Amino acid sequence: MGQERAVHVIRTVDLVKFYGNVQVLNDIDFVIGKGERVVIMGSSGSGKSTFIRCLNGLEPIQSGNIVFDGQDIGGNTERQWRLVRRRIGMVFQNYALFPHMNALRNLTFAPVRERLMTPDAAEARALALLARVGLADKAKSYPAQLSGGQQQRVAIVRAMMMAPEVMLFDEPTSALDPETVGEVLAIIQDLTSEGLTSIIVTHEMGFARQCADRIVYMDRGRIVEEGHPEAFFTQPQTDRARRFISTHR
Amino acid sequence: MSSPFDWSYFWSIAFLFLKGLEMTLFLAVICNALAVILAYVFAAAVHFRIRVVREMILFYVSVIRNTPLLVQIFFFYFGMPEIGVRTDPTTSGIIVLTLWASAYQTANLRGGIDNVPRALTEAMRALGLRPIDAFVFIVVPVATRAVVPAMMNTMVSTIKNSALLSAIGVPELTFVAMDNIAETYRAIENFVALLIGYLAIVLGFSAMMTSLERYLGRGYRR
Amino acid sequence: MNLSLITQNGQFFFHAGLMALFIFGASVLFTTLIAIICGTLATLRPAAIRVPIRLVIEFFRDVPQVVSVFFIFFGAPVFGLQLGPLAATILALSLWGGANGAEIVRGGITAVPHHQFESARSLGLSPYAIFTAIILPQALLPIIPAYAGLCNILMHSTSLAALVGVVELLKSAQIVIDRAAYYEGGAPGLTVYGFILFVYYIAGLLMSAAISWLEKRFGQSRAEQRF
Repeated sequence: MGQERAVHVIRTVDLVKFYGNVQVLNDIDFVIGKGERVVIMGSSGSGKSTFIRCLNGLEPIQSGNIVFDGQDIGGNTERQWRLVRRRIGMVFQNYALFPHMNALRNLTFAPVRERLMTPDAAEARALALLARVGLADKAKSYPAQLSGGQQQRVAIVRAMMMAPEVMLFDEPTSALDPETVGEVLAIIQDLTSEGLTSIIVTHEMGFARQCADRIVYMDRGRIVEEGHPEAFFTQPQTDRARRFISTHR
Repeated sequence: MSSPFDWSYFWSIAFLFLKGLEMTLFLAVICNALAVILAYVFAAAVHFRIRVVREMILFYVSVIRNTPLLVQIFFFYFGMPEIGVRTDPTTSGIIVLTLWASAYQTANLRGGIDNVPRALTEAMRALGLRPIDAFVFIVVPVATRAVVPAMMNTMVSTIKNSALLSAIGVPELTFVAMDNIAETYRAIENFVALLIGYLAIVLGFSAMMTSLERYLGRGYRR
Repeated sequence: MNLSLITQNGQFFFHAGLMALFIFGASVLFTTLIAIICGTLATLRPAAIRVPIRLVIEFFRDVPQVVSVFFIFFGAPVFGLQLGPLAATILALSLWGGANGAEIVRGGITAVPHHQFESARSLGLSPYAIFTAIILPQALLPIIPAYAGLCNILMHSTSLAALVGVVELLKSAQIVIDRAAYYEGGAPGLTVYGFILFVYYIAGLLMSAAISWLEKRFGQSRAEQRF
């Protein structure tokens, strides 16, 4: 589906990544179009988290290209990556909120500190985003005073403060209690529904089926299958994907 | 030796002890304050892997922590004048005690910095924060909070170790007591006064630090 | 630098080093005994035992080490206890170490889960057997790092003996420097005190190596016990 779109936001070509002598990503060719929502699935150790961490330079790659907005960023220095990361938001499995700052300051700190927003503008946007995820009354709360689901919602809007062009979600609900998974997934669906390009690594089948424009299935460091969710879930092309779907249902 | 404890003598030395107490408090405040400031600078230099400087700091920390403070004091006070660095006992004492304390505080801080959760450092990178901003506003506060108890222990040790400076004639509490004993041979009154002095400082400091810790911890815990 | 000061007095320094080692060994031995006995007593319920021990522990923890050395050496005669410099230093360091060590042991014992006492008691073990076979081994292994830190301080504290006149490393340095200063040039202070720092530094590294070996060994056997 994504291939026929005119604008590629991110494209990787023959991406290769090693941890020491172990090859964790093997010739990954991947494309995501503007406004597309891609869910990456795969069993643990398949390289899916590593892959999206390469896209914003948290993990260095050994060879291949990462093209973002028409430019090859695969060989970026850390300083160059910093500028890219301001345009790519990321949400982590374990929220990673700054424990000594309240929710509001968690949101406004980076954009204000790096002079990308005025304090007033940042605060206004932060309060609006908090209200949108149902946390208007928690602006002054510290992370330790919030539940896991609430912390993750704050982390999601923190990543969205600078109006990123792409959002990366690295297993955003894996660390949550089963009861709060739904609320966080609903927030993700809502926030990305207006054409925000996003790549989501998750094990949540129902969410993937309902929400994704495309499923990418990875196994042992390779993309082995990709396609529309309906096709992927009803007629998986490979044995591995079939087994994966049946065990995670 | 009619009475084991001579009250009139005890009161007569009170003023001398107040002067000693003043010096001990002065050393405690100045050495601890300078040591903590230096420790942050050293820890930052190590964190940012500044070439040569990093190795020099790690070596200094290791030497200080693996040798006796008393020998360090003698090395500085009696050795340095041989290469033209001549300072009076109190200045020498401040320099050595500060360097001693800052080595331990640097080690404390480094422990805290190394234990800042990986998830947090990645979140800082993912937000595009400049390394210096991430260090100053995220790493340092998070690390400091974790090592406040250890830093307080080091501060108490620094206060108690200021007693070693009596060996080079810094007129602090212990020096006053030993000076009195050498003059009058009245040991027991002087030791009681000494004990009261140190108990007051150490317990007072601990109480102050406990309330500071509570203040810093507010809102932080659930 | 005048290294002949070191080489010419090699034997003198060697004996001084042995003296420091003896002070260290004796204080560690007595520290360990006092720490285990007082640390255990401090966990007992009767206040008549617990409170005085806690007070003595608190006293030695709050007073500078050098003050307790001076106190034993200059103050003890008032109580009719006349000790030589060596015995006074060892006693003072042992009491200081024992007080701090007792606090560590007490912490280790209180950290042993209560069900360990109960299950041991339900097996019909005698209180002595419960303590020596069940509680103490579990309490001692986790406190090795703190105990090692205490030993490290005790090693440095052997230099305090110089202040009451024991010829250990620091005092030997003073003596050599005093003798040299009159007729020799160079920088005797920096050279000789630097040499003493070097000796302590090497000894400290050796001890760290020994402790991490110990930790690895006991840590391993402990990890195996878990499964």
